[in-house]
Amino acid sequence: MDKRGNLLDVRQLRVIFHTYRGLIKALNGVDLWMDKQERLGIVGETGCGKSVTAQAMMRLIEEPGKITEGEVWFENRDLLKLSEDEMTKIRGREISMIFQEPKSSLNPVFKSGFQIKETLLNAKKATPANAEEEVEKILGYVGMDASRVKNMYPHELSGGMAQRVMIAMALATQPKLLIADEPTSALDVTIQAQILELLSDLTQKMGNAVMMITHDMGIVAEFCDRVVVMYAGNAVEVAPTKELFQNPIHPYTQGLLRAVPRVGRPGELKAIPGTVPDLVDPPEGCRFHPRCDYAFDQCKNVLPPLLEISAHHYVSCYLCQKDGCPSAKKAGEEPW
Amino acid sequence: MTVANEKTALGFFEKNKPYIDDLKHTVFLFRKSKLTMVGFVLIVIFLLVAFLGPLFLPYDPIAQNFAVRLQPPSQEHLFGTDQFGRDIFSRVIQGSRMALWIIFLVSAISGLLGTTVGIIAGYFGGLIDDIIMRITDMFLAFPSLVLAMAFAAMMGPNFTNTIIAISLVNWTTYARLARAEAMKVKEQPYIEAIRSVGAGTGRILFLHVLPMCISPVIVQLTLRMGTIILTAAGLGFLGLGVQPPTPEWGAMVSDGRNFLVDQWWISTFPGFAIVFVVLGFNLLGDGIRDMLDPRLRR
Amino acid sequence: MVEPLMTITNLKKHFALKKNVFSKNVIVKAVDDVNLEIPRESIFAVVGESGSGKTTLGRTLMKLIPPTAGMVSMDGKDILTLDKKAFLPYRRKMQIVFQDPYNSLHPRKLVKTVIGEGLKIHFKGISEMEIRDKIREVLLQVGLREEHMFRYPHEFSGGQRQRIAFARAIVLEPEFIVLDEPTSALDVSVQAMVLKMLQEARAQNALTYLFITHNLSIVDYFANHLAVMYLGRVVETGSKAEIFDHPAHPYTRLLMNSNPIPDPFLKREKQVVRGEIPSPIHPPSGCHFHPRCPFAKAECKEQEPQYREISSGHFIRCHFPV
Repeated sequence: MDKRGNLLDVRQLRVIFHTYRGLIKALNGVDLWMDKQERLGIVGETGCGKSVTAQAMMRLIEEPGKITEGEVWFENRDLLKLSEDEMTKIRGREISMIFQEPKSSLNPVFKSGFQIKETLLNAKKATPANAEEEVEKILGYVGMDASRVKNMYPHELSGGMAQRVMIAMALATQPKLLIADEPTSALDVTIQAQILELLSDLTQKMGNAVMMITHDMGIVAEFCDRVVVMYAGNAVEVAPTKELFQNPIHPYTQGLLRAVPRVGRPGELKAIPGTVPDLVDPPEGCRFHPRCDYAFDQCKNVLPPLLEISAHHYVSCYLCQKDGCPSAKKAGEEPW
Repeated sequence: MTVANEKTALGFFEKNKPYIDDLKHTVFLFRKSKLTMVGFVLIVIFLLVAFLGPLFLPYDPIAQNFAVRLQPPSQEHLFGTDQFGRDIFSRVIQGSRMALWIIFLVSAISGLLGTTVGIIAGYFGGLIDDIIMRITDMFLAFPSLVLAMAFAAMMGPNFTNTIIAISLVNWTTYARLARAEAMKVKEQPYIEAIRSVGAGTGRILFLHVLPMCISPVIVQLTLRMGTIILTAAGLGFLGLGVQPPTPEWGAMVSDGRNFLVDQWWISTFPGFAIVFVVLGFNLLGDGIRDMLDPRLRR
Repeated sequence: MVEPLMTITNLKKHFALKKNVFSKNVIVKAVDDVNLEIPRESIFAVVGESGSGKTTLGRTLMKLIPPTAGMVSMDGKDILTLDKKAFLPYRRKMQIVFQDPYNSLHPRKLVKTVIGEGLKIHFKGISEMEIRDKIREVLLQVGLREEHMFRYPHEFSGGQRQRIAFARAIVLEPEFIVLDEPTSALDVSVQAMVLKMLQEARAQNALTYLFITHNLSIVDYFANHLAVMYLGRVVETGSKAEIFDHPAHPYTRLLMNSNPIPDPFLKREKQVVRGEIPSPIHPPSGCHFHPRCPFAKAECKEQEPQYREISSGHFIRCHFPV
């Protein structure tokens, strides 16, 4: 089979959730892929399915949710076909995750040093003899005073420190892929800058690929090589970061970029009219069509496929097939 | 305003949409739980019997007829007769009305008293809270039946005093619940928001804090209805409750004590009635608690 | 210069924290000696990170919590010393919109009750019809529809709830509104709509906003005056243009620098502030910012910098402004 990325290739991933209101079609056939050591950004707004995508890849979807379809090729294995035991060996060792709320991801009753040690021993990256030493070394990597921090309980750590401990734990096993699910949204801007810098330096040094899930276009611009824009359970546009900012094609991406306020560029903020659809009863066809200025009949019937319209730039939009892509520049406006 | 004439084009359904949605959801949760349904059916039967039963009694529940004393259950006397020849079936049915009265009055009095005192303690905190809570501690320091007995014995056994005694024993539960809720609610931004609009303390307390404290109290009330019946029956059994010849289940069980071995039906049928109602309220109460649990709602 | 709508003089709010029965009270200076002038019909942004006291400042101004010391005068009257009754008209003139759209509306009240309650309090004897008319008017103004008044808050999205919260504020025809991070819980596309609505409403109703936020990019887009707070103190204030062009306090500069910019072509030397934000319970001596300041000298550690004017309307609290 032809693989699009040499580390990860997710194909047509579908996830549903059963609720009393009906079926929530959370992921509607998501496609994304990654190369080794790549930094992929996944951006989208609340409810677009960016976190669910990561959870589904890790097979962490729990009742009432269910993965109904799809393949998750990680190197040469389809993660969705592995046994639970084999999957356990992948989680935390080959793919690690960090989350938005670092404090609630740490166990409150154990000291942070102990928790890192456990992770190391579990993954056989240390022996009981040298574990203590390794813990101190790792805490040193994430820029903390190891002798002090390893004896602290999670509640004694600030948000930024806790996130550093989480990063230490996640990277201690030298995973091939680190999934960072909004790692800085709960932190102050100065601390956010520290954490992003740390993540950037460490993963560069260690050669991990990073999947950065975020809603912040600023973080995407500063951190990621390539971006997947998600809307209502679909990847609608995939492109290298610079290409995406310079030449956004999907009307949603354009709208998103215009809505972001920026220092030094005051003036009109343009909002996207309408609201995010209810995923119990999503629109037929392209899920963005009710909010799209350019929508025509075809958009209302069948979901547009994700097609490569120029080198490495993929868009799921019929306009590109009909009468050329809706370039933001054509309309005489700046893309953002 | 020029639009004043075009307004109110809203239909009944549109106006009441939230209520209707809410109701639908409640029914959805309700039907999912079999045990709640069982409890609900038991209580409906109990209510029907209490309301309608006394209209169709085969015998006068108080009239004594020594010709038929201590008869076992038969065609004429479904549940048999007691030592005075009174029809036990009629007495159990009549007793249900008494039970209903006790439940209703005690719940109303103790629920109202407890909730009011509780939200005041919770909302104001400080010294008021300390005083009220120490009082409830005093009440809670005694087993509830013992306390109810003490009150009933002190005030003299009759219907009114039974109600008062059981209410006095019960209100602390609701007070503590309402207090805990009020303490939670008063920290919520929407309370701060209404303060910023300029609402006074009374308005905040009764229009904004109170509605949020009611649902746990209602659940607790339903759950405790079984206990109220038990306490009332306990008082009746000890002779400190409603006085004979008025049929009251606890007193009826007590009446049959001396005949337990040979004339089992005298105590057993009123006992079953107590079990029936207590079980019904407990199942229903559990169900309502689950239904009102915000984690299950949306 | 125009007469300011609100003048804040030496405002302090200290909290006494008690760890347990045996320990002494610890004083947390959440707002410490704040002096600001808020021009009429301006959008005055208060920027700071967690623990800076920006939210406490907003609440103290609103008299939702009692101040420790200081003066807040509005229309030349010190509102902090007014008793409950005398303050009531000011209560109407000053409103607040909270950060959390999910908990700032009473979950058991219809939207019309939420918005109409203030009217019943402040306009005695107002008829039900008049209330309806006013609610409809403000609902339309904040971009909602008439039939929304018969719904419960949980049926709305975050952005719509913030609109309802704002409608509750403007229905009382206030002059001054504290916006406490009104968009920080919202998605960017929704945020853009809400900000736009806020701007239009300000122009239409001649409102003055105190806009509390941690996001400098919104400030640039939205505000025209700005105060930067750090650990309870205002470290820099002035017009937005002045501060964005000539940030004088090292903290302001670093804050601007930390903000991720959505432009992958921008090459900038990113300066990351070292260290954690200190606990406001035990703030550093001298200038609170000195342990994290790249330009700190010995003096910064020992001496508290004075709050002084470095150019017209531009105040700063720093020994060595950049």
